[in-house]
Amino acid sequence: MNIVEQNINEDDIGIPNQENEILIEVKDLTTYFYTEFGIVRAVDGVSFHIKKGEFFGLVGESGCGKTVTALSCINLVRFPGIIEGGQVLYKGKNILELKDKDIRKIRGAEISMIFQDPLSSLNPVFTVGEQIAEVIRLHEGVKKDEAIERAIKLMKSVGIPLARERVNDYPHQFSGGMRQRVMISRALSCNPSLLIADEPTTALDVTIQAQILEIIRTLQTDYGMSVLLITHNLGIIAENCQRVGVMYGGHIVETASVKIIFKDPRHPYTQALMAAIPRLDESIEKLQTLPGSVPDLIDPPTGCRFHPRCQYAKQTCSELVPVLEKWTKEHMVACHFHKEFNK
Amino acid sequence: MVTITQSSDNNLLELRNLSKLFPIYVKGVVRKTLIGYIHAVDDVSLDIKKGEIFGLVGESGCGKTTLGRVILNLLPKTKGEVTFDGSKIHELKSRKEELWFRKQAQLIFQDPYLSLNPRLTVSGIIEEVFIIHNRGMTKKERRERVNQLLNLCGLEDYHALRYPHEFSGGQRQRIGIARALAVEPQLIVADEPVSALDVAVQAQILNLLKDIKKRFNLTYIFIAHDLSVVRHISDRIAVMYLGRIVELAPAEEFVSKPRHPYTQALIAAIPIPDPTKDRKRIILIGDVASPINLPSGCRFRTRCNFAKQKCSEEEPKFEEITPGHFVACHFPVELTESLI
Repeated sequence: MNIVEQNINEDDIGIPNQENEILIEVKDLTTYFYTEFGIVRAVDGVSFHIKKGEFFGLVGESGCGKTVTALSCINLVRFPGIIEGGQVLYKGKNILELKDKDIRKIRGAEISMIFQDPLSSLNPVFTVGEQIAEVIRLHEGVKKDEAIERAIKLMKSVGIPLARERVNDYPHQFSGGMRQRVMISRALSCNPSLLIADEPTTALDVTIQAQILEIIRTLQTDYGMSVLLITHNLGIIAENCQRVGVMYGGHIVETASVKIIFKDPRHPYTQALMAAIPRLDESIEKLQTLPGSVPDLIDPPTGCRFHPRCQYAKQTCSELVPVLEKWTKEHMVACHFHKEFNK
Repeated sequence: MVTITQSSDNNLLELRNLSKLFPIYVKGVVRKTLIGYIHAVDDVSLDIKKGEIFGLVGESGCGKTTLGRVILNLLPKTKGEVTFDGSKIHELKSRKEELWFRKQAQLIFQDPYLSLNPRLTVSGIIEEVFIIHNRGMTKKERRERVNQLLNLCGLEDYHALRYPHEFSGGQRQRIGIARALAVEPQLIVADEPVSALDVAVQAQILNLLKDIKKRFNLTYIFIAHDLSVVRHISDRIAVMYLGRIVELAPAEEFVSKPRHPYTQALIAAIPIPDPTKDRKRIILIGDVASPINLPSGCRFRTRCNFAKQKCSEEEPKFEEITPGHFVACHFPVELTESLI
């Protein structure tokens, strides 16, 4: 099964039909953190959308705002973080304007989330069965026995062996890969339309990572669920996602379908990122490096946030903030000079 | 089960039947009872050649870090021997001999946040090495040497007077490398030196490690879980599974013609940043078995797609199947299509 292969023909993208209906649209999302050192502009005007049944990836280095973007999407940012502006339109409703009571109906039922570290996102004093059943009972109001029965089914569906025996085990009795499966089965308990997976495999070994991604892919195709996958690993993006957004310093600098972005990355940062990874299938003598380090988001560089590290930077780059512009159909780049240089 | 060729002058390091077991005790009211052992490193025999980069990969808990530490005599061995340049390093008698070995072999750590003393300046951290190993040096000479080392690792003179917390992860790793180079060693064991770093910084550190290796003709044992990184830097690669080395081959051959089912699954599981590739997926069943109650016969058989009767009865030998390519498997698989 290779999802990447399907459905990505440059020409048929963008034609509105049932498949291409937009599920969630993030417009100009801005989230700041008010710390004692200053205002951290973690997410600064981020816009993207995810279609129904689409596998969308968000990639970037640590501290670029990927996780905060995801948390803002379901209004889960905690103080000192404040969502300053923007809209998150889910099925036409702006999630950021919903009352707590209403958003709780969406969280866990229609949009659910899995995190990097499954141990710290499971409650150590409840059995995994109770934790999965809790979600089902809360959203669907079924009896406990029935919810537990469904939890067992869910645990089986994500490949937990002896699910019936293990439903009464506590999180610490599971291995890392199994805990992540528990998280996935909990996230899927109410058949969500959107699964947000924040670095779901970063803490796991590669063979286990392959198992978990296989489960997410299967569920995505079987149930037509949309997935927002956050990762720093370009390989995972290439092998799983259909479209991708590249983040740098709180901005999205490029979005395109996966096939196009790997063939023709337009933003200098995307290009640099791709040239910096050692590859299994190629022998490279010297990796390309980026000078400097990721920007301080309390005092970000003026203009384009990437300009101090960019080899093509000109005067304009330090003065004007570039906006996402259309390069080809569904290929957006935020760079003043993306038309001028080639890979 | 040694099938490795006789020692030659070309070898900097020779491991023979090296084992490291950690005893597990249960505390009772009166005394502790031994209930078993964790087989962290089990009967490993290897030769590391002078001037090579030897990559060691494996998943968490497979014993790769323990192997690195036993090689450096930072952990005592349980069985077997390690010979460095002709001397058995677990049988060094005097402080003088120990100091000699420490001057020859150094370690670079994974976590650049924990491996530098927060109360010393960078200069203090590196000068400490000279205070121990080069007693005759004056303070001025030491300072000069520190600056040299920092420049070599891409840092500036003024960094010498700063404290570790003032640096980013990549810069701290550079300090760790400068410290390892201070004694002018022959061998450096790098234990996951880039896994805590972002890709852009990781590329800088990998390039730096390659440069200094060439410049000083060093030998590396490069331990990592990321096969793409190991393949990028190594000349030969060995893969460990539950304390045993299951396959060893030159880097190119290791990724193009792996023979052990575990190596194949590992390679197939590494995502490659090229969406046009339609790769074969091999999904292994289950988790790694417990290193305390090891499966009988081949340790990998519980997850192996090709396991047969013989695999549960007899432990496979680590044998050379083509020149330089060693595999521990009863039924090494011949691949029909490339995994990468």
